[in-house]
Amino acid sequence: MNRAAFLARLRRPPGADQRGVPVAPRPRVQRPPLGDAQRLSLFAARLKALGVVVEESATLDAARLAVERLCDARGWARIACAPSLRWPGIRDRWVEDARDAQFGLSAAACGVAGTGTVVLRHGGAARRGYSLLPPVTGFFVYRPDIVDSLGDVLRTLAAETTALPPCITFVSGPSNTADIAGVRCVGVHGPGEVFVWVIACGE
Amino acid sequence: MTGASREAFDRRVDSALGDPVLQEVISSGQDYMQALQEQAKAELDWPAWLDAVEAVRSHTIAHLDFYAAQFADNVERLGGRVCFAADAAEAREYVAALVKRKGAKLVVKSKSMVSEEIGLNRALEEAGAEVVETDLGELIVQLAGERPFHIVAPAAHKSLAQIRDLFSTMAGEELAADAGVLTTFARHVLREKFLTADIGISGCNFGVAATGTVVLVTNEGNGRMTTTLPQTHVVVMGVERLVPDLQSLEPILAVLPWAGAGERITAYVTAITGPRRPGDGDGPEELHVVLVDNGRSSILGSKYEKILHCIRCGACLDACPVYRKIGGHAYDCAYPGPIGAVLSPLLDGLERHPELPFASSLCGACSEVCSARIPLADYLLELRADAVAAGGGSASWTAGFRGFAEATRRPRAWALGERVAKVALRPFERHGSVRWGPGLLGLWTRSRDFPPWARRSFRELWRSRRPSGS
Ligand code: SF4
Repeated sequence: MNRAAFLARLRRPPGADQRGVPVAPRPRVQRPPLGDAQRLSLFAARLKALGVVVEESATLDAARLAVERLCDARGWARIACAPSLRWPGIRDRWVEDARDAQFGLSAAACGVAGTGTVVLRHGGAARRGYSLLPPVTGFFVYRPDIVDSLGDVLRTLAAETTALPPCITFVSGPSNTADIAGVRCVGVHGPGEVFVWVIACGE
Repeated sequence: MTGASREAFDRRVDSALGDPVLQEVISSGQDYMQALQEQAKAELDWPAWLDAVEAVRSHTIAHLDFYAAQFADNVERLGGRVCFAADAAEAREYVAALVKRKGAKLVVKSKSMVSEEIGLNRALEEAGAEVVETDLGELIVQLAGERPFHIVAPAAHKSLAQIRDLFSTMAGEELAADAGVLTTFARHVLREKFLTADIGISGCNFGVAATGTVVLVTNEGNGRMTTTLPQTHVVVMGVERLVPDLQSLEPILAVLPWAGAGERITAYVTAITGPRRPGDGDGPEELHVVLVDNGRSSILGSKYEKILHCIRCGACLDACPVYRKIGGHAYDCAYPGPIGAVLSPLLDGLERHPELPFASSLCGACSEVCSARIPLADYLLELRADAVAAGGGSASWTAGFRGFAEATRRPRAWALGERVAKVALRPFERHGSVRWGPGLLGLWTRSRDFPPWARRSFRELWRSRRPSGS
């Protein structure tokens, strides 16, 4: 069916002319804002409840060291992440393609305390696969970038004047399913283990 | 209702009622979900969030022509293509032609109720492609050759042993009856499919008109795989599944995961805005969005319009006492449960599903829990009236109710009827209720309880308690 005919069928009442630009309602459910410490502890608590390992790091270097320790302890030789996120410490282990990686690392645009969510903006070198294809994934989140609620993120995104990135992912815990007899299993398609390093200071 | 459709429906119902495993699985699933939903109501200001969902949905549907145009414009501006499908056939033809044009041999799908509604899989198979469902629940029902049993948990009716058997056949070897083992097996098999698929087909929980964004709400990660790895991504969505802008998603994302899965948020909420751009390291080269009408526009502006507000959370199925007994397959349509009992006759025609409006006790539990505040029970009653007005009612049923209405208007006739019924019903009583009987009584007791006639009627009790002389 052509576009005009299709859209005409959706007009209410049928056949009426388009009546200007509608103003979307803005229903808000008020929630008291969280204090700094409260926000961080809620973020960590929500993530832990989802089965995520959360560590706080004072600086980016400290977070990198934590990643190195994890990779050494697990014996991982193939780590996938965007070039801008790499550092010399484990120079020989970086891989481009996440398909064969044992661990994928991504920088989160922000975190959401209320739901234990990390928000990823994909596009360019920030591939979707880093947080999807390896069996284990990890995220760096800067503490000042943690907000109270999903609504805060959505309002910020809506206020951006340029086009959204081709993909934004809100990740809250490991890939999971309860489709087999109601038993919750993790790692069904995506990562079964998730790590979050909360970095105290902004870069 | 034709005799044949009624008999087929009765057979499906009898088969569900006669399956003790199924009865146990549905009841425990419903009890589990209801407990989790109660938790949400304690944690959130639930009525306020439902008000917000209702405001967003009713505004969107009232301006659907505007938002559909805006959404399509934005998808196309970002390099996507939009198909405006008037009906199921047009939607199938568009996707099948794409499969042929691409020479696609393998299509992976993440959950899409609309593709079930339009019968997409068969069309793609006829176009020469292997179609693999990748949501675990959908895969299980695909392997079993069945329809989804529940709109959120398609394989909710399958036991561990049944799933083990299905996966063992797929594997060509005996797998352990262990959910972890079976999940790992599925991961390996499906990963290979994702990596080699030519086309990925997804549904769309919500399309954001202001940005042309397709939003998927999933737990497994198959939605992300389907929309990331194949070079072509096709979105098949009902045209009503739009919201004006990103902020409008806030109440929906607050309510949907709780109502649908009993959780604060799903593992993944993915917002896709156009195909891969120059310099992107991954993502599909092509994005096609198929906007499906298939009867929705004829609901717009009708007395049933609010059914288009549905956010497909599945809470009405989890609350319904009839679904609890007859399960999802008795409905024999893409959308089971109370939502399906209303939506399917509206989309496909009452003549196709004449029994569905009657597959309800009208207790109102569905309306009470509905995340979009849809008056489902009222709609079921309206549909019954429509069915009768269209000549679909049973003559003896109608005559019986006319007689009942007459009797209630005549106190003497009613009193006489009471006395006769008290005696006449006795032979049909078994185990504390009337179980069978001739004529209208037989029709009624075929699928409903009929309590034994009270030994003393209300009027007799009233007379005996009234102080003498008053
Ligand atoms: S009708 Fe209401 S409760 Fe049922 S799936 Fe739709 S929104 Fe959920």
